[in-house]
Amino acid sequence: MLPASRWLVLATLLAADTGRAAPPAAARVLELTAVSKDAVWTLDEVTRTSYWHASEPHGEAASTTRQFRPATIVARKGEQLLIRLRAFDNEHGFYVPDLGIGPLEIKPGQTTELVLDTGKFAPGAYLYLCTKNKCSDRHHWMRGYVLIYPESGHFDAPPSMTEWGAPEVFPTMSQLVKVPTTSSRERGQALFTIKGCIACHNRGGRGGIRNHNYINDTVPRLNNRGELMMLFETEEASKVIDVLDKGQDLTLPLLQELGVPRPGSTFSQYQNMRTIIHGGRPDEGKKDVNGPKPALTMPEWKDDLSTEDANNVLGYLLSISEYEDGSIAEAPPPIPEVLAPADYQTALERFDRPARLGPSTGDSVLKAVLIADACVFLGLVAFRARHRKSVPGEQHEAT
Amino acid sequence: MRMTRSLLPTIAAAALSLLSLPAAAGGIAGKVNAKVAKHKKNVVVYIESAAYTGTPKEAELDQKNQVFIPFVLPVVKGTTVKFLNNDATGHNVFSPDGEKFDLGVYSKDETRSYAFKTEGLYTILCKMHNSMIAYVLVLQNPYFAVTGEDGAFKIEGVPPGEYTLKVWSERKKAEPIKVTVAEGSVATAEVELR
Repeated sequence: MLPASRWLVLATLLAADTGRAAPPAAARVLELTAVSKDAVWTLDEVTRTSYWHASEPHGEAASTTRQFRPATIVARKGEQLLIRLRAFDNEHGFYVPDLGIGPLEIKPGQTTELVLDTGKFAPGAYLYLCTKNKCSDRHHWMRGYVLIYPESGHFDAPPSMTEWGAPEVFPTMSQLVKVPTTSSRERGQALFTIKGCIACHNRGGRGGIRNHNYINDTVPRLNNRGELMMLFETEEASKVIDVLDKGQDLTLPLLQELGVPRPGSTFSQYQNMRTIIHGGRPDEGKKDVNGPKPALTMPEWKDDLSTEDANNVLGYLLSISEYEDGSIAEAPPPIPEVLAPADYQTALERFDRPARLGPSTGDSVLKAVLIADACVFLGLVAFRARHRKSVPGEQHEAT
Repeated sequence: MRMTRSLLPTIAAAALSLLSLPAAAGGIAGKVNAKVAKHKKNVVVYIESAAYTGTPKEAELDQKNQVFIPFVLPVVKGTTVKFLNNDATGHNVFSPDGEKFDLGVYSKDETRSYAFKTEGLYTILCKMHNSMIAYVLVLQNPYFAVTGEDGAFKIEGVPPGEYTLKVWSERKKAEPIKVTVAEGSVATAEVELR
């Protein structure tokens, strides 16, 4: 007999099947696994053994060196990809903003299949990234590109993979940031990175990641906090930053004493920003009212950032804002530009794993077992029904 | 008369406004100059004090796509400003300035109003969206103008007399300018923001 729970699983699997497009026969299968320890989406095979071997050889502390290779997905325009997404050790999110994919929630123990018809998109480099802010302290590393090459030939102008951080850019970003123990602007900057603000608001708070159906289209930039707090000149901003760098709260009397031009407004905006940092913005404005919830929402950080932390982060954001008479923080060193390889073959050799064709997930096996179970059960029912017909007494009893 | 107005409201309104002006009214026209081009826009040029006894009209400040429109709204003391909401999301309107007010949170197509009875600058903010900033500048008289992209302004219907012309800009300052308006003529003024 098929237990009720198995019926449920079978029904779910069959329902899921009808709801998604069947992968075309010629789809190339890619298995993309998220690994928190290395903070990476990888095409490498990740099994329990390779995982421990890769990250913690001989029981040593987790290596800060990237072991699993970050994935760059390479395709020719028109190619069908079946991407199987797995999370090895933690919940992750998979979002390719400019291909309209996700964010998909990827949970350990599940495989999420995604059919990507590259024929629908112009050749180029498309960022993918993790959207689970708290997946690890290097959440912002979990990103890479989907490279769609022209149907034939090569890129005349290879697209840049720099803006959001390609794997090659990581060495400049990837020194494991340590959070200073004492209040400071450096602490604010470290928290901005480690807590993952940087993942959506970008390096230097430049913003700009596409947020589908969000009223302003993209994630807000944060390097304009100065003007939003009515601090227009470096001199007045510096006074406020000094307070925040110490982890102290801004108060109205304090702002009046500091002589900022509009203390009331500065204080209101400060309170407002603190509220948003701690409470998040679960109901971001929709562009199309009848459309879906925006893809990304500001999470609440009250359990992850103390008031001192939040003040340090705001101090850092004020320091990277532009003012009428210049800037306070030194501009960070430019990140060397990384271009995608011009031709498909080079990219494939450099980034891709050998393609594997055909079904291989446990999903199919489970489905087969459950269908077999169901057949046996239905057979039994039919057999019993036929048997009942031949015994009129029983039928009579039943009525 | 009623029929004429219903047929030609624009013309009638224009005619009425012309009739209501003192025949000999003049004006002040000029330009706001700034080192950075973006500073020329949204500057309020106004007469500090003038004889004025009219009744203030209503004014509107809209919210659309999470932006207050206009950015700066000069009004005469006593004006009631209607704060519209043309966004699908709820908005809040408050000001930490002057006597301070908070109109609460309200949804699309709802309007809340506030009567500005004290002269001065009110920063208008929204607790929900901290990038939304506007200013209501409450003035003693209606002789004011807001500059466009090119910094040009024109104050109309100014009674003849000697005035002090003042300037409000979000980020910059300018010295007051003495202006004399003669009967039926337009005085000129150049404003230098620094």
